[in-house]
Amino acid sequence: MPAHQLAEMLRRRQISARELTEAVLARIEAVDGQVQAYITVTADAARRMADEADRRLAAGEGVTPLTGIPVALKDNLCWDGVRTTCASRILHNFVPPYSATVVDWLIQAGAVIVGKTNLDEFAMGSSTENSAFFVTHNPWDLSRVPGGSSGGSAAAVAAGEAVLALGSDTGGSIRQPAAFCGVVGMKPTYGRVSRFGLVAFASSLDQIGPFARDVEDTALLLQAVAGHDPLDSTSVNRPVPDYPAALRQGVKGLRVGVPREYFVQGIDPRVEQAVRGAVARLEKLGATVTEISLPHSEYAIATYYLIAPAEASSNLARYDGVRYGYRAQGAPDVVAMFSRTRAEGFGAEVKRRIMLGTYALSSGYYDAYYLKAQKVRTLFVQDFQQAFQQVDIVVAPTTPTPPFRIGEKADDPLAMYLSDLFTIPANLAALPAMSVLAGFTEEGLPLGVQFIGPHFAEERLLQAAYALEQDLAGEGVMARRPTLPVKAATA
Amino acid sequence: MGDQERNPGAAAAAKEAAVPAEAPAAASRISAAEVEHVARLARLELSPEEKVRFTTQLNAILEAVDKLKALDTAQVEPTAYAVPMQNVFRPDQVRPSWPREKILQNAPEPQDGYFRVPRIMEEE
Repeated sequence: MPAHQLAEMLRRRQISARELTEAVLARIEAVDGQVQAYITVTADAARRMADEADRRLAAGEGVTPLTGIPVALKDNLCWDGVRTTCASRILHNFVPPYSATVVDWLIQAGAVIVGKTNLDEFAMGSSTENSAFFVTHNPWDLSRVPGGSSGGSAAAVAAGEAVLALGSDTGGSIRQPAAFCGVVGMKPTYGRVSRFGLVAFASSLDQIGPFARDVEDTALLLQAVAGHDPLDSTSVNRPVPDYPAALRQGVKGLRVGVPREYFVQGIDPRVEQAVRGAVARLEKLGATVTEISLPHSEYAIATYYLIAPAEASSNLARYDGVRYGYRAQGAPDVVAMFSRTRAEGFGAEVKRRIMLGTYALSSGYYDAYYLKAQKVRTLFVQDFQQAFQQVDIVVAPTTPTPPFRIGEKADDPLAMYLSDLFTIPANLAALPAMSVLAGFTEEGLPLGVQFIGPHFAEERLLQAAYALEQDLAGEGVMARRPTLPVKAATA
Repeated sequence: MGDQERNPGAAAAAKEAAVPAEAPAAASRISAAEVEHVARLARLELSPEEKVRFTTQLNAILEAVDKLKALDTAQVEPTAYAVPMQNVFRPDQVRPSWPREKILQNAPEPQDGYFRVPRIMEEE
């Protein structure tokens, strides 16, 4: 059941926050052995937070739409006193001394945090197979990946192991797993949500955002985490609109642009059909549809895989075994200690990106690679500026294919990188973008459609996504849930 | 957020940043020797297998990113942040910082309130 309905039941005291939390913890107990969405389940803290929420609900004080709602956090978001690993050996024992601003705000809103979810190590990957601990499985088909890097958060929401979840999106890490798991995921405009306490990967691209069962819940969670934070100098000091109020405005007269370049690059026909179907629904509901051009789309992967690793190589320099995390033993001097700690602490994909980023920033190659990529980034910004002179939103596929099989792309970094082809441009241009369910394949795999808007146009995305979702709901598409074999509850 | 300033050995790395003279083989973009050099800059010890694998994989990735060279960007300004941004100042006020014990709880080898590390200076 979505959060907005649960919140209503909590306010009417038809259920208690404690009962709801126990139900979610029981669901985790029953299915997480197969899904493996969580690195850490914080059952005790969740029960305490639920009891506190019940006190607030009983007193009618400090009640928000998230009071008593179970939420999961991607395990790269710091929570004071709770292990935060980034799914990396190098942080396997790290306990942050402070909370991310979004975590503080969720707690203030009365949300119940049930645990920390699995991810590709340091959010680098598109399948959650790069976790140093274990692979998360797609609840719709356990032999397939949930997407990544926020695969644990997406799978937890899809499998009913959390009502809502937060993830982070650097090149598609919220939207791609949302599409693969049949849930809603949004990357807000860069600066809309504070990054303080999010373990940094690529600082000019990273953004925290919501996962939810439906668009209305997405609006509620975005409302709780959006806003200016003095602790993040890139967070934007700009009023936060009333997101839930935007939902029911409809799409009559909305100008929808469909970029032709997103349908030529090896896209799976089932994805194309689902996206074209979603566009047709919006048109039926009163939107006007135009084909547009985003001419530099084919350069997205090349641009991203220079900028993101360059920033990552710099950000990840802090993991040196001195102040926190893993330290290699027996090194004769401090440089050997750094080098061995990093050799033993990082996994293959993280090492690959550190190497690539260090190379792209090194003397003699900086202009040819990093500076060149930053110039091409400008071309992406301009492509979208031109597009948004003609249309209000861009509608496109989220991913080129339905969810792929575990192991299918694990040995080929370039093939894996291609699954971010359609999500990267919004990060390069700092735009808000979201993925919502567009339909299913014949074998029951979810397919996503992506909405991209101008800076700070989150309301417009929610409005269009809500209209599409209501139309699909009329045909029962939204009612489908993954069926998982349930382990008998243990006492 | 100051994320990118905290770089251990950054000055030392910059000193070493000149590329070794050995030219890469004609067909490859990055040689095994350059891979070793970059690994030293990144303070990353690589196994012999990793050196071989990363040389192959980095060559494939660099070949793929080379498609950017087809774009004429002579007149294009680079973008670091894609939303308009300006420097943010905060008042220069004394604030409490983290308690030392709490920070040292995460340290692999704390000693007498400090972070202990292996020898830095050469012994004579």
